[in-house]
Amino acid sequence: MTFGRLVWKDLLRNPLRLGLTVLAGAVGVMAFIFLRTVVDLFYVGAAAAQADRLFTRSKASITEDLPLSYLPRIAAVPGVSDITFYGFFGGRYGESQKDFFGSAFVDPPSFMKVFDEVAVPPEQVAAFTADPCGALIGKDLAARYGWKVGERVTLKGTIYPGDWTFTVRGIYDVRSGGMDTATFFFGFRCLNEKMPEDRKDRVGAFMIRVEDPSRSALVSSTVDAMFANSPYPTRTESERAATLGFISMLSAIITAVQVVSTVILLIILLVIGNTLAMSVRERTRDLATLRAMGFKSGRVVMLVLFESLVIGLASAALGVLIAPQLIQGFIGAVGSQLGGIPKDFMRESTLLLGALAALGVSLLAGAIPAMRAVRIPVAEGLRKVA
Amino acid sequence: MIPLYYNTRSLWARRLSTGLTVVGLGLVVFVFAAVLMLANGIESALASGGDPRNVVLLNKGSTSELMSTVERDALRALGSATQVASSVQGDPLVAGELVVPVLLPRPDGKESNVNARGIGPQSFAIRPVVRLIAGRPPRVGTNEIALGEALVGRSPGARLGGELRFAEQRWPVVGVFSADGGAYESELWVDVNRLGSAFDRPGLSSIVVRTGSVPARDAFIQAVEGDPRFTLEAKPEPEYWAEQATWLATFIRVLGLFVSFIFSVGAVLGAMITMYAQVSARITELGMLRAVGYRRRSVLASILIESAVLGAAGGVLGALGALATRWMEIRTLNFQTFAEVRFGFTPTPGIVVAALVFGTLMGTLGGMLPALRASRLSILDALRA
Repeated sequence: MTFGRLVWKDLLRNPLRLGLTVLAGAVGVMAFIFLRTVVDLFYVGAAAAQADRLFTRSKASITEDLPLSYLPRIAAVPGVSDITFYGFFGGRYGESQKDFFGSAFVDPPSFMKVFDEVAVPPEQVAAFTADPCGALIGKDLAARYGWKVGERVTLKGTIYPGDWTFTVRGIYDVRSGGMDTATFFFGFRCLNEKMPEDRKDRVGAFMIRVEDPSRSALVSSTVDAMFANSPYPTRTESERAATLGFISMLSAIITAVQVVSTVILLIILLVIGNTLAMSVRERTRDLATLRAMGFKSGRVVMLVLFESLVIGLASAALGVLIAPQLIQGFIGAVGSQLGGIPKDFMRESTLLLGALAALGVSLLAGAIPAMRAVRIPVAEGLRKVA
Repeated sequence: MIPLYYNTRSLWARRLSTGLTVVGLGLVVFVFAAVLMLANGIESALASGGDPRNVVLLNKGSTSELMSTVERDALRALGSATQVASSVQGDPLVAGELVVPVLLPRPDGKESNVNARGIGPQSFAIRPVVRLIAGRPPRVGTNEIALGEALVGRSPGARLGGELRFAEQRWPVVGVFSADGGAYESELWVDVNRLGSAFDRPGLSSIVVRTGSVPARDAFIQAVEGDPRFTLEAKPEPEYWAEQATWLATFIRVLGLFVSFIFSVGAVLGAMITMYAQVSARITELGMLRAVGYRRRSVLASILIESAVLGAAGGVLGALGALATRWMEIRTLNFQTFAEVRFGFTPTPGIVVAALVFGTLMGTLGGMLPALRASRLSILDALRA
């Protein structure tokens, strides 16, 4: 009998147990991949953030406005190729928490230039630009409410009081990157015209595109120096740095998720380890017989480790196959409440990590029973009745 | 009935695999209980700041102070309402407040968003739960700050006698206050007019009113909402704070329970493996029990009880582990208030009971099929095995 056949026979000694173990292992791999993907979700924005895009906001507080008059001054800074602005609107569509989605005002032509990952048919761009109260909505949002181009949508303002009616002029998709497809953008003109004098011409932040990404730091410091002594000092960062800064405030949640994914590995370790320990205990006599026949201890250890490797591989394969479906299901169920999920959230590297973790854990789980199998003296092992 | 002693002995006889299964089940129960405690911790941390006699007034449609803008004129009109309580000096307990998130550097070089609350002269009196534990309250017309207890040491200068810098100004810390673990402990309080001018904000975020009693509060809310002069939304303070917790608590609950569910499938499989092994190792024994006259259903019940004990042990282990996290403290950004909150794992008897039930249930589920198998054995086959 070849070594491979021996491993196979041993595995199939108790097919039910093997099946249950592989299933339990796969469940663990699935959970692990799921949680790692949740962590990835936090970072996906940062990873996809454009290196040549800068973000200028008020230095004092995130809720603080900046005057629109800063725009030409920033645009004139050497190295700035394009600039646009936006402002968080925070309107509500319905009364329930579930009806909340991101809404912001933008300047259509420059917005389309700076955010070139946003894909909209050209005629819709033209219509969005032409209508002061036109709206550009993400395809997920459109799908959620069944909104079509030409539809009139009324949002209740919270930061900007009153009812605001917009006409959907375009539906966008995102080519790549961390932007979500569930945001409601509308023209700045619509809002600005109705603002009282003291709130007119105020925007939330400026987005700058630089010609040469290696000079981003210089551009940032030039912009900030320009307004350092004004009533509204600014802070300019790369999109990536801004996103990472935000994530660091959430670090406790991310750490918790990471701790839980480690706990999962521990549970897989226990389940597989338990199975192997049982199977080795039951086979103490068989293994002793092998050793009595002249098998080296190393060979016996290999035998057990191979078994655990096969279990690990099978669990990993099954888990990796099912995990994406599971995550899709989860996103489908709660994605809208999480405020839109970016397009490319599933990473191959996470699947690979899950598979490797399962293999590592299963080998570790096999190690102790394998050691036990060879520690017992042969004579005692032969006498033993499991 | 087969005596329980038999089951506990047989679990003990296979200490290693019993132990591993119990630890596995325990870990699942631990995650389950910890998640519930955490979500509960956020809710109670934010909600405990609210006093049932207080009313928070926001601009209609606004869900949080951060988004709301309230005109100052409403302040005087509200103060004259009959339901409003008075201070010892006879002034109405009404305060116009302004909330602005400010970025403070953290000792680790990163930053966190902290809410600065501009307070009126009555703000401390309106909230008896907020007590100065060191120093004195900030004086009107100065940049002096009273610091929430949770912020002490969280930023350079965040201590009594220290000084913070934001909005290009210096803000000396003159007092530290506690608020029974509520959300106010993660805020810094400063004179509303100084904060407003530092941030160029003429308006207010909210108006807080202390009423004489809970019925007076309800009457007050009705009066305000029926009064055409105001476009204000009035809410009892505890309700307001409970709403501020929903997003984060829901996020943790949904994620955590989803994970616990997947986990529990794995743990049930683990328990099943153990129980199948227990049954197959004891076939002769079980056959013997049947031969001496125990019925099939007694064998079924016996194995089920055994796996339930296994699960309950896991439940106890997990619940104890979760209770041990009580001393841990978590700080994270609350998306709704856009400021850092501090909270802990807050157990309730309900959560502990749920954890025990969850563990027992997992064990029982895992034992179901093995128990059926055990009860279906024919006496002859079992004795021959």
